[in-house]
Amino acid sequence: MRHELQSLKYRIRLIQLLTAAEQAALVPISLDKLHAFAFLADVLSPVWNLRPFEDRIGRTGKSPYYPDLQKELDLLVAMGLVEPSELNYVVDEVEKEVRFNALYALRFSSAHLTKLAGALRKDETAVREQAFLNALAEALASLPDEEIAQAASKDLVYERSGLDNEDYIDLDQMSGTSRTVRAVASFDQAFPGSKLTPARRLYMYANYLGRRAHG
Amino acid sequence: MQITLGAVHMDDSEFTSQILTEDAFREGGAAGLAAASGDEDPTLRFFDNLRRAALASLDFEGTLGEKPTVFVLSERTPRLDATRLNPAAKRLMDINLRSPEEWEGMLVFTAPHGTGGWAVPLPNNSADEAIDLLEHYGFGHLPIAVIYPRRRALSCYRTGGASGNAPMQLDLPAQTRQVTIDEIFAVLEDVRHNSLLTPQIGPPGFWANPAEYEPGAEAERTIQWIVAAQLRSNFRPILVDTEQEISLGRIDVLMTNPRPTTELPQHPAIIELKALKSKSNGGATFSHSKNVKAVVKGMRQAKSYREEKKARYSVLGCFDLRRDKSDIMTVKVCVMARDRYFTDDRVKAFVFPVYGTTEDAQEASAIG
Repeated sequence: MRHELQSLKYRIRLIQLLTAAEQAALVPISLDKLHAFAFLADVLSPVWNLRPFEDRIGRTGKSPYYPDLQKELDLLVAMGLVEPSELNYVVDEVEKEVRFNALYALRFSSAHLTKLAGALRKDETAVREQAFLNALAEALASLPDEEIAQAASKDLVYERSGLDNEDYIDLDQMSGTSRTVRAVASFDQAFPGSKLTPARRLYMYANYLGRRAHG
Repeated sequence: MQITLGAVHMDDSEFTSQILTEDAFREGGAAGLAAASGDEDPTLRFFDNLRRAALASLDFEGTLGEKPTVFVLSERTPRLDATRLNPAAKRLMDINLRSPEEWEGMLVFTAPHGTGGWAVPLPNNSADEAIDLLEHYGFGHLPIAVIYPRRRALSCYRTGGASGNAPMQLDLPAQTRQVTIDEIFAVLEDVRHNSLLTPQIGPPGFWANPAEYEPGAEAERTIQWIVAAQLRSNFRPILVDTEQEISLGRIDVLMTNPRPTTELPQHPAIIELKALKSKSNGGATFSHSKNVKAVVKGMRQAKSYREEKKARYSVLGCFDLRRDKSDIMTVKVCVMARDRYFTDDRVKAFVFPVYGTTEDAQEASAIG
């Protein structure tokens, strides 16, 4: 029962993420970008006074990746709510592995999707979350499309450093005190007097990560 | 397995001091601030973001084509709207990073960020035919912006191309200007001449009843928005914020240099804007003394805000929407205020006449 509830939550989260990506013209979205978006939504949720969706994430050495979210995405494809396109396999010579890759978008012709979207529009919490995800997707769209995943891997919490080199990050416990949130707050001092709304802060942080990704 | 809280042992002030020394932090923050128009209205945000993206693209070297491009702010999602028009629609990304040849002659459904969307070919390379097509598919009411690359012009239709309303006209200048009072004056004069001079070229809703010189409810906000957009285009990469609250009041337009130097300080200029009127919106008479008070107040604000923000320059721009264009700056109280507040050459006031009828504008031009 608990497992089913958790699955349902993941599916709703995915539909919200893909809805935001749709509205920002980021779809069809690649797996690495979708997971990057999900991670940044978690780590930046305090900017919107929300809690992160996930409890924790592992540092993979690549861009952020949530195995459970991926499993539910695959199920949404099987259920006909999400449509994949441009399926292919990527051979990673360094890691000696073959990875499945595709682009994803909501399948609007699904009657289930229409019903779900209608129900989400009536839920106050879901509406707040959607507003945040929409704003974050807009901010990410201001980065070069191919750099979104790379930028997420340069997040101040996600990136390993000499002082912080653990395998997992506890997103829930650090919420509100993370280096990411403190960096977002520090924009006040870098740009004193500028009107920094939460939405503008998301743009600023996204572009900061973009600069970090460029080295 | 180890778990971390993602926080190093560093207090807030130490963390902030360290991050403020990072070039990427300031540059990225400035880029994000420039990319994120602070406007709450998604349509205005769309126009301003598209203006910035188009300018970045036009700055690429190459010949600019004749074909216009029509950008539509989607109501549902760009993909859904574009594929309804044409199932073969294609995703178009990062127009700010592409030369204009790659997006000219298209009809693009986009989001408020304006940097990409879903595109179909522009029917017969004609903006007018695109507007007809949009109307045919029930999209005639959606905000659109038409970019004319060769003319470096952007026409913004808030209520859609089918409405018959005049667009807001913005420039996409090739050159940037140095921040001086003369250059600020030149930009404000361009706004007056190209976007506000008569009701025929003025944006929708600017006048409630132009023949009676009754401004629309949004006239002052429209002036401020166009001025801010044109300043951003002409003085890039300077950031231009509006309605900034400070302890002394609210600055209409604040210019900020993201990388202050000895040549160009953090705040190169502040600009206060006033609309002088014969009538209020609603038709009530707006008295001469109220206009005089507005000018005096504007002069005081211009100087005090400049001092407060340690800005280099300050400009008071009075857009004159009165029927009677008598020289308000020669009114005794205004002269006294000018003598009192404008004690150096880094603060100036200008009046920009705007006309409710073409005949009045012609008359003013004819008699010089």
